[in-house]
Formats: sequence, structure tokens, C-alpha cells
Amino acid sequence: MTPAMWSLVARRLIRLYPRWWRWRYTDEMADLLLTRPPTWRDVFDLAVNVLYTDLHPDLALTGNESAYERLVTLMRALRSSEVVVFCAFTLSIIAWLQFGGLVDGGPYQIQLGVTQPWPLLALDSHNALSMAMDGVSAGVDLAMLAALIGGVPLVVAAWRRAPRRRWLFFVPFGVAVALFIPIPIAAWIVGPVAVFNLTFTTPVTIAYLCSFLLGAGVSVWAVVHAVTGSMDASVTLLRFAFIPTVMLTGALFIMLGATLAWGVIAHQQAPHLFDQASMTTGYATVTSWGVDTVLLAIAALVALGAMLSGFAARTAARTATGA
Amino acid sequence: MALAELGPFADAGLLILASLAEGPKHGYAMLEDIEAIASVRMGPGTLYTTLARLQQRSWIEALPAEERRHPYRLTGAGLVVLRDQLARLEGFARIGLQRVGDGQGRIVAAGGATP
Repeated sequence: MTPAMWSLVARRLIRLYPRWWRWRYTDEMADLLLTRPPTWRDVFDLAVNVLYTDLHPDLALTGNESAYERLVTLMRALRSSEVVVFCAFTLSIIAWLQFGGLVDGGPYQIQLGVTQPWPLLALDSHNALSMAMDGVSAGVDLAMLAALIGGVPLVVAAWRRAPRRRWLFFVPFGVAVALFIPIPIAAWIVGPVAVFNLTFTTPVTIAYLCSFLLGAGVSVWAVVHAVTGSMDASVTLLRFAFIPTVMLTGALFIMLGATLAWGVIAHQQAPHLFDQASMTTGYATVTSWGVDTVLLAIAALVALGAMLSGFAARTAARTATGA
Repeated sequence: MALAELGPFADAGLLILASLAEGPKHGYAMLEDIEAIASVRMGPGTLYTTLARLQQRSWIEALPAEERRHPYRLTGAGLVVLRDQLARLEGFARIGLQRVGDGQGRIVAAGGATP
């Protein structure tokens, strides 16, 4: 790569710093990179420090704040990290829904005429595939439990403290209704069997998938906006919510590991099914499984980063207040 | 107050404090000076992370910007930390050099080759 390309990469990396850092140092850093063109070592150093800064929200403190201001800054950082983990959970749910469709046996029987669909393979008690499926289910159950334990108190606190933003909590329900309405209409027009056997390979179903993803995004944005836009939740509540955040991150890694294992075992046990078209996408199962795994990996890594950031904020708050 | 508080940025912190002991400097001037006095090419990411940590502890402070550059200067607290750390290093270097000298004598006395 040429020096100009390293400069470009370095300038892009600067954008990944947190907002407070960019406000404080971007001009200086840009000037420095102009005066001393970066090498690959500088770019690597920049990348490592971007990660370090993102994982250490206590760096935002200047040392001139009062104890109260320090606590507020750190608690906001903790709240942000908890919200990011819950957003990562939403991404994992999308992957999980797709995985559920992937292992659903009905369409295999219809489309492929097979007598041993995935669920029957999975339900064999001595089957490694069954254990992998159990792992995915355990991860999902733990994640949902953690999301309820940690998320509900935050939502309730935001509901109480920001009455003007309460309408945002109804957005996911509105989106769900809007996404559900086309299904009975389509079933009425073309028949239920045709609707439920559709794969995401036609313009109509691709458009529906896009609207589903858009709806998920809008719902997450609305809830996040309601929670982060409300007055600050109590310190005790935010500290408590960190515990389910850790659980949730662990659950995402369990889901990821089990999904990976499922793919490897499925490939060994039933390559004839693994390479065939799946229910939800119409593409080969291995492709759908790959997409699921990538989505889960992104969710798990984002959650891990946010959890570490939250841990740093929580520890710094304890030091700052002596609590 | 000790540089060890900076954790993985303690060495970079020492170099920056030593550079600013000469007078206020902006980022580029610090990097040039550090390379000249210690033969260390500090990365831009490390520089600004360490500056943030040093500012947080009020060991350095930013002066009004000159165009896009902010010069930084050592504070009284920073000077105390720097002096303390350099004194420790001086003591460590003295003992280390003394032991190296004694060691050479012992190696020669035992019939070993001197490096």
C-alpha cells in the first residue's frame, strides 16, 4: 500500500473514536497525520488505541469534573454499553429466526421428499446434532431470560422518567402488526400452502424480508431512543442491569458455539441435506448457516466489546465514588 | 501519584513528560523530540491516549490552540511525578551498572568469558 492509502485508512480509523475524543483531538490528529504521513505501524497503533479508547469510557473524564459529574458521565457510558448489548441480542434473534427456519423439517419433506428432516435428526437423543441444537436452545433461553431481567427494569425506568417518549415503546407493536397484516392477505389470495412454502428468492419475498429487517431496525431505534433519551436511570439500577448484560453476552457466545458445532456436525452426518436448499432463503443450507454464523459472531463480538466497556465504566465509577 | 497508575501507558507517559520538561510542545513536536532523545518512534494513537490519561491526572494541560494544534505543558504535579520517576530510574541504573561491573569481575574470576 502507498503512503497515501495508509493516510486514508488512518483518517477513516479516526472516525471510529468515541465522540468526546473526536471533539477533543480530531483536528490535532489530522494535522499530525498531514505533517508526519503514517506508516503501517502507525495505522496499527491507531487501530489498537481506537479499540482501547472505545473500551475505556473513563478516558473521557478530564479530571476537572465534580464527583457528581464524573458519576453521571460513567453511568451514561454504562447505560450505553448495556443498550448496545441488548441491540446485539436483537441481531442474534434475527439470526436465530433464520436458524429456526433452516432446521424446520416440513419444507424439506415437501421440497426434497426426504424422510429424515433436521428435527428428527436433532431429536435423536444420542445424536451430536441433537446436543448442538440443545446448545442453541439453551443459549436462546438464557439470552431471553437475561434480556428480560436486565431490559425490563431499564424500560420501566425510562417509561416512568420520560412520559413524552412513552409513545416510542409502542413502535415495535405497530411494526409487528404492520408486518403481520400481509401474511393473512397473501394466504387469502394465493392460499396458505403457497405462502408458507415461499422462499426468499422472489421480488415479493425479498421485499418482505427487507421490510422485516427495516421494521426490526426501526423498533430497536425507537426503544433505544426512548431509553437513552430519558432522564438518567438510577445508579443502582444501571449497576444491577450490568449483571444480565454479562449473562446475555455469555448466552450469545453459547449460541454462536452451538450454531458452529451444528453446521460442522450436520455437514458430517447429512451432507445430502446440508448442501440442499433451505426453507427460508432458498439457497443451500450451508450458505444460510454461514450467514447465521456471521450474524451471531458480529452480535457476540459487539456484545463482548460493549460489556468490557461497561465493566470499565462500572469499575471507574466505583473508584470515583468510593462505593 | 506515580506513573505506574497509567498501566500500559506508563512508558509513553514518561517519554511525554520528559519531552514537555523542556517546554510546551504540540503533538508532532513531541513525537520528533521523543524520537531524538530516546530513539522511540511513538505511534499517533499511543500519543493521544497517553495525553488523555496525563490530562486526566492534571500532570499536563492544554494551552490555547495555535491554528489546529494544541500545545501541551507540564504542570507542577506532572513535574513532581517526572522527577520522582527519573530519580527511581537513576537509582535503578546506578545499581544495575554497579552489578554489571561486579558481575564482570565474578565471571572473569570464575574463568568465564566476558561478553
